[in-house]
Amino acid sequence: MARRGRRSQNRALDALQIAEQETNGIDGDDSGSEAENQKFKSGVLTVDGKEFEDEELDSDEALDSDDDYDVLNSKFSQTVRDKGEEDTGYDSIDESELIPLSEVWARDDADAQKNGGSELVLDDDIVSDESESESEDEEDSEDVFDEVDDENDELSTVMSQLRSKDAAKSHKVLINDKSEENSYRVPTSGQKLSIAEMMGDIETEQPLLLEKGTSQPLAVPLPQSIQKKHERRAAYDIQKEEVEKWTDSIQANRRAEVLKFPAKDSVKHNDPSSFQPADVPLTDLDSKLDGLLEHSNIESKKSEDLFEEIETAKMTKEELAKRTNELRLMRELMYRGQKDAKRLKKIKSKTYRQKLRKERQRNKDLVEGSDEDEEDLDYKRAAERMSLKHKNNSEWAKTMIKSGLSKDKETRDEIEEMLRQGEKLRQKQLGRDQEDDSDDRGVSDIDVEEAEPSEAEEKLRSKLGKGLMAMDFMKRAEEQERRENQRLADELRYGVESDDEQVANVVKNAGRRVYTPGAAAAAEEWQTVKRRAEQEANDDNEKSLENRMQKPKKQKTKTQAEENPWLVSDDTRKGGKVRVIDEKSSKIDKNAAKLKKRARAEEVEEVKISLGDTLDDEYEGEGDKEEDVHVFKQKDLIEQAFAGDDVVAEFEQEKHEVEELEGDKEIDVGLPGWGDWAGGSQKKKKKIIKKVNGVAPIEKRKDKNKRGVIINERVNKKNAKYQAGAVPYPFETMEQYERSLRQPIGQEWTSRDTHQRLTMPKVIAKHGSVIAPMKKH
Amino acid sequence: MAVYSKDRKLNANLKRLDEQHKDARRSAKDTEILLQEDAGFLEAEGMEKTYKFKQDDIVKEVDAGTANKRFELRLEQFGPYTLDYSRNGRDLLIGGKKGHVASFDWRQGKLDCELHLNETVHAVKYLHNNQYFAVAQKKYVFIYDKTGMELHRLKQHIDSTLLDFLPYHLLLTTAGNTGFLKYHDVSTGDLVAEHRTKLGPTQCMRQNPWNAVMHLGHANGQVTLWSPSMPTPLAKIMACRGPVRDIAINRDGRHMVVAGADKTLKLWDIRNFKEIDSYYTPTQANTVDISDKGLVSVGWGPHITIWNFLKQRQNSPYMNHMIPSSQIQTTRFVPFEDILGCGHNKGISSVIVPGSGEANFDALEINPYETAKQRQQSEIRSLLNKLQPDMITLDPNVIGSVDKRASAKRLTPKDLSDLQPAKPVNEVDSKIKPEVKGKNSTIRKAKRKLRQNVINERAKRIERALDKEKNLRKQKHDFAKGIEPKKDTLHGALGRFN
Repeated sequence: MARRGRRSQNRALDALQIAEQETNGIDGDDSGSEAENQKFKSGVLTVDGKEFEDEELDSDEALDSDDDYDVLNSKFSQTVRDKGEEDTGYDSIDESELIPLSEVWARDDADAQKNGGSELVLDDDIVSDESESESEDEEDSEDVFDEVDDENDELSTVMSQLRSKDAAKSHKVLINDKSEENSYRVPTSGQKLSIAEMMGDIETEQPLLLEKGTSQPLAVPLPQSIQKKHERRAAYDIQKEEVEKWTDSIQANRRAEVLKFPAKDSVKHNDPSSFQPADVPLTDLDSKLDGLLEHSNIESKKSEDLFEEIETAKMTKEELAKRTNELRLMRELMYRGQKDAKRLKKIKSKTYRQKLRKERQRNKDLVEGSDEDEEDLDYKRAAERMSLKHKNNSEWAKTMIKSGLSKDKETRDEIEEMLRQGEKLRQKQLGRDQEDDSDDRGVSDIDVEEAEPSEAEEKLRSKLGKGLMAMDFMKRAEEQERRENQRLADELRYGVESDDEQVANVVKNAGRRVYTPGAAAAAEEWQTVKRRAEQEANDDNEKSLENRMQKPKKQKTKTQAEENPWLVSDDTRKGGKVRVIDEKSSKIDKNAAKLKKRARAEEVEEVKISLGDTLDDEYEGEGDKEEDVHVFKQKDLIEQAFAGDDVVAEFEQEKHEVEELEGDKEIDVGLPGWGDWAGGSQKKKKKIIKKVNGVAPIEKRKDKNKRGVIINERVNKKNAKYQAGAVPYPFETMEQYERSLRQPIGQEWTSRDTHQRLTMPKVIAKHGSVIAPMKKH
Repeated sequence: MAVYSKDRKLNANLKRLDEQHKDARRSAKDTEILLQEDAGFLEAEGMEKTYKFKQDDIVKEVDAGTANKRFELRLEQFGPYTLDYSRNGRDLLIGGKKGHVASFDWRQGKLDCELHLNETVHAVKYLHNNQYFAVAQKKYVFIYDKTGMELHRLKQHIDSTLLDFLPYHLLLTTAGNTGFLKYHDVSTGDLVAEHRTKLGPTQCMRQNPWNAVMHLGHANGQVTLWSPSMPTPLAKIMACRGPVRDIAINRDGRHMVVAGADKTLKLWDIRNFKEIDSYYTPTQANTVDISDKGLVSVGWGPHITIWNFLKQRQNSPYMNHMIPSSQIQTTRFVPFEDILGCGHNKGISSVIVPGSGEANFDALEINPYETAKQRQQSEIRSLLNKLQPDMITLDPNVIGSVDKRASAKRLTPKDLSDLQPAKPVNEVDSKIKPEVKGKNSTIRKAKRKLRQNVINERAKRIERALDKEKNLRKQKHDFAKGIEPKKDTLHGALGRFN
């Protein structure tokens, strides 16, 4: 080939140009990731070609100076190898690391100059290799000449052949496909298979094969394992995408309580076709009914939506297209917006966030006061007042001033800004106080309304007389309602009970709390006032005589109960409905009772029967007279009680002991006499006390405040095996778990329906039915 | 919608459970339509009082079926009588103090068996159905079958005077003069537990049907609550000042009525352990019982009074009955019937108490009309569903729940690791030991010793080589430091011969 090159230099040049174009074309075509390597190589090729062109070297010379080139070439090969190695980085190819063509040239030049040879000597092989197309062309031309010599073909055929060649060049991969797959096959007709043709194929596919002589090595293929790994990964991704199509249906199946197969009943009972009302009334009755229905508007005459009546059907084609376009645009914009938002959301930069926050604040300040919550403001103000953030006495400010940095402009600005901020926050508060007064209407007005029912109302009531409103339950309800209102109003006025302990004076001006030594005293005073007021309010509530009577009487019954030592331990019915009236009761009580009697005649009998009544008091008038005498008398009761053994005291003692035993204990661990050294100024040493946690501390006992009851607090270890030691897995709290246990599923506790539903299997497959595979989506 | 958890899946599950619960409640409410029988009480008109109605008056008014259920058995020889009804109320077991025991279908008057034991009979009790019954006799407790054949003599239960049976746990409980409470599993034949009460002879014993806790009444006025899994009482209640005569507990386990020898009759709320109410009886009551509908029968002297005071304090009883010249020994309401059976000195009598029985029965639970087949099946079922004795607690709801001592939240692994105290780092432990066997067995030691003393060619050679090596190393070191190699004194002396 080199010979040919020497023979016709001009032609070679032309061929080279064609080759160059070709390679460039290939470059342009290849856009896949694997092209990088090739791209670089082709870069090299073009470089060489260019040199060749520029210097117009003879290939003979090139042949002579084989060694010189090697050095150069090895450098090249090094870069190539580097590139190759970089390419093996399979994660992603950093575009910035790829050397652009121009740079390669530049570098090349520099290298060449460094080597001292302004004349660049090229290896003959390279020339031949890198201009295979050239040689090819030569071959072609040679062929053409041969054929001309043959004189069998005309020029047109030559031209067509040339054209076909060109076509072949543009789709070089396809050349191989022309011949059939057979290694021994030789074309029997048509043109001969020239070496150039073969070379042409090789060149496009694997240009490096021909560079065997050069020191440019092949990129080392990745290790098998890694290659496979890549393949697996790719395959996995594809598979994953495929499998994900089922996700929805799987989810739905999982969520379903019961899966039934086959999914649908084959029998449809509500088939519309099986039952269709006739349009035309058949009988008189039908027509009558129709008329009635129409008359009464039960049946709506709304026609079904036919396709023609759907809005979109009325549009013209252009309109429709326009609309779809609009929609598409909207969707696109939305999508972009979402994408942007997502990206912005992901930004983790602190400074960015800071800036964003500041900007937002600025924006807010611009439209300030308009939409900021009052409460928010209030809170901020409070925080400002509490903190010393924006004052001159912060650590930072102090150091700044101290070190004289405050003269520095920037620092001064910052401090000023800080102070201004503080000022602003404080000023706002003042501003609000002035505005606020008008709003404070409410409570007192309501009070006035509540306290004195209007005259009109009174009149109305009197008119109603003994109607519905006069009835007891109505009165009661009304009273209750009124009391509730009163309570609410009181609450509003006096504040909720829980505020009591606050030392701060929170009387009227809620704007600022006053922390003064006198505040506590004032608060106390206020408490007494408040209590009195409440008392009065309550008294007012109890207008009726009955209610007023209640209080003293309560006390009376108490004192009466105290007289009876036997009953003290037994009387648990203090809050009971039965009110006891007997000889000892005061006059007021009796009066009250009389009043009540008048009101509720039917209760009289109940009232008569007194406390301490026995099972047989009244109803057994005829028999056992002597037993009647026995009852009631406290003395008798006490005598009859088993006075000998003081069982109650014993029980209390036992309870006390149990409490001690099961409660926390404090043990003095110190040795007796240890640290008791007396004399001089020696202080007595502290005792070493060890606290031993018992089963249940006294304050937490279940039987605390329960007289006559001892409840065992010891842990029943045998029961523990029927309990869960910790909250079991899917649940997060004990409450959730116990909630899940709440519903029994046994048929003893639930209805049959519930039982069946709760014990239904998760999958029900009809025997012998074919279960269709799951559908995508 | 309520949000239970941040976990979406859990939240969905809980929501579903909630829905299920709601549905279940709704459908349970709907099934009330099936309860067709209505319970009613005696109603008085005008000046009438319900407690003044005599049994004869009532019998005249009620239907024939109910009227037939009123009967008297005059058994004056062997009294006083105690009695027990089977769980479905069909059969009646009576035990005369002087050794007369009989089991019969009381509605049909069909006698199953009649025994004359010639021994004191303290108590009688049906087991899970009418096929077997236990009798507390003079020394031991015996188990008989329906035909009256003696099946077992429970020799562990000595001197028992009180019997009870826990149907869901299949436990026969006995107590008596020894002061021991014993639980005997009748399905396996094991004595499950025996507790010493330390409070002298037990006066009375009743079970709480709600939680199967046994309530024992003692001579010092205390009522103690027991479960087989605890050797000490679950709770102690100071119920009255004198000995406790009898206890009765409501079906829902909320109320307990205690009759004391100090003539008090107290109503306790045993879920909150609070005394609700207190009444006096003219003389001390012998027996109390609570019906399914919450009527309380009190037997004192020859009188039976029936009260309805569980819900509200009453000033007069609901009904009254007297058996002249006799002492009421035991009164028991018949399940699913408006009948109160009472054993007294002169035999047995059944009294009509309108409104006392549960009108609607659950045939899956207890069926008063069961056939032999159904009885057998329910027996099997009850055996399969048998609850373990350990499960008896004051609050049965704790079974299956989370231990109250545990944390209320599920602990993450991190929490767990935080909770566990860091192990004290023992230096010896922390050293990793090789997994080879120790080399210091006595035999090996001896062998090693032997080996040390052997001087053979190889040992010498090695020693020599080591010496040489050491020497060389030293020389090299010296050379590196620039120290002149020490002239061998001997070398100097012999050098002249070189």
